Amino acid sequence: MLAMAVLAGCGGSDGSGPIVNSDTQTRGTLVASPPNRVPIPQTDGTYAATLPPAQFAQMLEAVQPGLTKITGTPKCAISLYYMKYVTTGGAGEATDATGAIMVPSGVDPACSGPRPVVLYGHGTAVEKAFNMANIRENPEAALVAATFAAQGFIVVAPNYAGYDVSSLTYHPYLNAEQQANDMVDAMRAAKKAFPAIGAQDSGKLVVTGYSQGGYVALAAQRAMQTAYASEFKVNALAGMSGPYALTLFADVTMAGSPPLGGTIVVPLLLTSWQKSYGGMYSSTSEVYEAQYATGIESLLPGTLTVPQLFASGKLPQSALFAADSLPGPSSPAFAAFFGNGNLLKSSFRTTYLADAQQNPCNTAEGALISCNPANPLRKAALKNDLRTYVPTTPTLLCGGNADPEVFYSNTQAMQTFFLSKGMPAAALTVVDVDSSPSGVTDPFAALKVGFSLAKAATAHAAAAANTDPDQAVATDYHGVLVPPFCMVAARGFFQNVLAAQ
Amino acid sequence: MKMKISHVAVCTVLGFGSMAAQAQQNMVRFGFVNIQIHSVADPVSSNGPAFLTPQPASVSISNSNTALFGYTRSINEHWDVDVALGIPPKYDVYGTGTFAPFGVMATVKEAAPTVFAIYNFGHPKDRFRPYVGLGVNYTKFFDAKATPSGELAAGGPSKITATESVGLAAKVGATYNLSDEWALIGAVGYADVRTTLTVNTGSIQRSGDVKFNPVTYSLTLGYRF
Repeated sequence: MLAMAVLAGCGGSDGSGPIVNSDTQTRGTLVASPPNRVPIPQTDGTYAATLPPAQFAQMLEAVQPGLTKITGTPKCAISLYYMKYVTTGGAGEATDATGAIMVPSGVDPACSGPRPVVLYGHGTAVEKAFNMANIRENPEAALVAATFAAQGFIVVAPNYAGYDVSSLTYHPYLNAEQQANDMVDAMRAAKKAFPAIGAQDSGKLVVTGYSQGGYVALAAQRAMQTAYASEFKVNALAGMSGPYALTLFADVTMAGSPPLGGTIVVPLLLTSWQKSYGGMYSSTSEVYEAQYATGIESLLPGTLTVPQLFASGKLPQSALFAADSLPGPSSPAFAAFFGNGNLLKSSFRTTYLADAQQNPCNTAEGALISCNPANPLRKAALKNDLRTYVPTTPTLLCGGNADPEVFYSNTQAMQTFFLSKGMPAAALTVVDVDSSPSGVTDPFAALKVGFSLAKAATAHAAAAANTDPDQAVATDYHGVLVPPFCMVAARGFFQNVLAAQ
Repeated sequence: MKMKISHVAVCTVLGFGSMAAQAQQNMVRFGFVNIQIHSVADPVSSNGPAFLTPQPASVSISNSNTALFGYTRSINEHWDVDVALGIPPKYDVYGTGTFAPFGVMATVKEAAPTVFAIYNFGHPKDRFRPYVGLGVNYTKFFDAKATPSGELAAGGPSKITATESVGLAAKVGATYNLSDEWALIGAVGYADVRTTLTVNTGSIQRSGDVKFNPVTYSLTLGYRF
């Protein structure tokens, strides 16, 4: 009886907790509010709720000396959040995904009051654990935080469906509709989170991304302009090093000019489109050589890093086509992509090329004529080629002309297309960071000079280590050299556009 | 006379035929208990990304003290049934491993009534009677709350639950009879108490199994009637 008297006053567990939304179907649902705040380790071993700018500067410089000279010294403290939201998969299935929200704070006017929002699409990642909220271990997340959040932008950066703890069992890579919807839903969820985390949204939205993310950014802006116009107004767009002109990119790849990293991108692409649309193949052994076919659909994104994928024999490092596959490499520069242990069956390539011959798509420089492919892969590439619309928002396209992973011809094709379809020249800015400044008035002069210095430093370090300087530059070009300069170009572009509006 | 009749009635109800030599078969006692916890906890698991629960991450439980009260019913010269209960003690949940920098991450209270079968050595008239007891503990946890430091570790406001526990308990002690009515009882006890702590923060659920392994040191003053 005494026991009962004591227990009567107790009501199970106590304490407030997150508000959980159990709706798993409505797109853009924020699964839990407030989203998880990432605790920031301090130098003394304790943790804090925000990352102070001075500490962030030290962290950046420790990992990449000289980086803050490119991105600028961090001005704002950053609060990092990890959110989960409801979105759709490549076949329209309800699923969920996670992402990061970065919120600047501080007394500097650039850090306080209502802030503009950057919606950022990240580049190709092979690891499922890739996370834009993990700035300590994810260099891309750190660069985005340094370029944007540390300078006063709120950042919303989805991890994409299929990554992290997303319940989608594959990643709809370069599925334009799904990836655009994913970005839209991340933005919807983030807006619901803002009041709970004290983020003041100024109402200005800019969209950007790098590599796959550049493609995703354009796809997202296209969707916001055409399908979600009543919900979103995009004030500026910046695509960086993206594979926008997919039929062009696929055609030149199959014709004998494959990109560096093709053995990673092709399985991601084929699996994505197979799961989204079906019809790419009836079994993986139809497309991939026997040693790779088993389990390749669940390989990426997965638990292995790029070096581990190659070392374990799950994927070849460069050989996309068989040594005797015809036509051979279009130039000696592409010889590495033909060889033993090749990924793709020659029959698959032949079928593709026959269709490319029969139903050409890119006969004129950068122009996508009305092509009518029969091959399933080419059909999917056409479906996802972004040359279908003209942005009604100021747009920047940035890249490096010698990019061996995502050819600059994508950027050029997009530029040609936009201008030929009536986009005002003043609304489109194209920046090749690997070029000489056009003159003293070139707003990107400093970035171009900085890029050439970074490229030279990479070549110099390789030569000093008795390794091939050209190889070293090629290896770093897309993923290490170009990104900081294009990111800063995008930021400057955004700041100018927003100031003028 | 009255007492004797009611005493018989009670004994009959309880189903025990024998009649105690003493009229006083009930004792209530009140005192103090120090609870030494030797917790063993599994690593904290999480359904969120690994970087937000870096391993090895676990918890340990603090010691506590509280007021103890009990009721003992004598069955015969040697056997008692004893129910022990304390004013719910509060425990600190400390982070260990990668959680160590966060210190006390949560507090939790428990109500832990325990029923014992006690065997008293010697005779009822002895001034000093040692005993051993074997019983069952039921523990219910409540008022589990994250501290500000715990919320920082977890990433925000958190809802914490701890599952209830049923386990064996044992004790050894001694009764020192001050008079027919009053006695001092000291005991050292142990109970198998375990729980699964679950913490919900944002979209992440973390949990870990914890064995408390409590060793209790109690001193109570009893009154027989």
